[in-house]
Amino acid sequence: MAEAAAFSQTTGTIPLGRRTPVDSQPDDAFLVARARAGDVAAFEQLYRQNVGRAYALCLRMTADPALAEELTQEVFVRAWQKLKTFRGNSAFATWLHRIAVNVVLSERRTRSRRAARITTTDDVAALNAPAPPPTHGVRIDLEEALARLPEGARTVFVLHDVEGYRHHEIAAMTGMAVGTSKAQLHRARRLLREALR
Amino acid sequence: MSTCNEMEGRLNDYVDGTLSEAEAQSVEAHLGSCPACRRAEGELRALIAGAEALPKALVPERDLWPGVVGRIQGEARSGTVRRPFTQTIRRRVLPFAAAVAVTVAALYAVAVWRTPGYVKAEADFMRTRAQLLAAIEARGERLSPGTAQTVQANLRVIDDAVQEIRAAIEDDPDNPRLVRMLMATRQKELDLLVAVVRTPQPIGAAP
Repeated sequence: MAEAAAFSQTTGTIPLGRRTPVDSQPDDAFLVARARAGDVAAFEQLYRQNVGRAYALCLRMTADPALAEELTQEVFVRAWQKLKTFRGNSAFATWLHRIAVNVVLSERRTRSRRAARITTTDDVAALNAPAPPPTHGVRIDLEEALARLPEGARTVFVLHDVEGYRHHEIAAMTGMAVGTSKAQLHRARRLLREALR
Repeated sequence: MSTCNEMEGRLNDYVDGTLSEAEAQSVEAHLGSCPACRRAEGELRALIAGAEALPKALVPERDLWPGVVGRIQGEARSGTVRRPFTQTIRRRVLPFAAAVAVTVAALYAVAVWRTPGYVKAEADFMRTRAQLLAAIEARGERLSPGTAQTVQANLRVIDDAVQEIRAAIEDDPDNPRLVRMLMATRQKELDLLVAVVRTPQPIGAAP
């Protein structure tokens, strides 16, 4: 089976098909098409191009580096499973980003139900590890303050002010009312302003 | 004219650009006469600009691809995607281990050597121990060699102690102090295993 053969290769170049004429990087549509056909090497290229963005979202929304790593892996496994539903109406990165948000929120709902895990909001040291080198004081301060926010406020702040979603989109993704999303954003901003003074 | 107490929500909407023209003019009129709210507006705009300037991508400390490809290749073989073992451990085994540790301690405390209660406590302990050991093995590559050796050495010491205590109990089965000693040793073993599994980064790695 071609699919089985494709699974045996996890590295290397894309063996067949169209390539961009000048740039050696194949475009997303080509990689997605190859990955949908079972080409793991193509999917790995999509992973390499997008893992940083998915991890940043997971890390900022969870404030837990180890959990963020697990969720990032879950995002790409979920994307692999759903590749056949990707119609190309949006960029692959946008589609993947929405999956990442859903994975984080889904994990949170499961965790809330089980009440088996408590995320502290003052674990700043844990957040520092994967962050960029502390060359920009304001940036590090904001990352630290963000990690200390209550979970609901942090979620809305990350989605709205960092990732650029609108309140009605956040409401649709999280199941909260638009008014609640706005209230959480205002709360997050107030707490962050106080923390950063 | 708006008051400062009414300002927070409207100021947020103002900097987000979601107010009507009339509402925006009302806010601007207030800002023109209120230094505190002007300062708040400046802080809000700086905060939003800072959030927008945060890097959109962060690099994980380890390569996550092996875990991804392992799961999707496992899916191809079995038709299902396995949950990463560490995730299973975090979600299910660790809380279970904590509960079992308490149960085991309680059962050991009241059980007499080789009664049904004691046998159940031993069985629960051994099952949890096996799960934790499997979890440690699964993440073995993330433990530094020195740490792995230290953990193994400690486990050997504990195992030796358990064997000696069990031998002593065989000779003196009615001695409650020996059973309590066994319980304490088992507890130390569980504590060690749980600590290793919970450690998010390689133990002993440079900060």
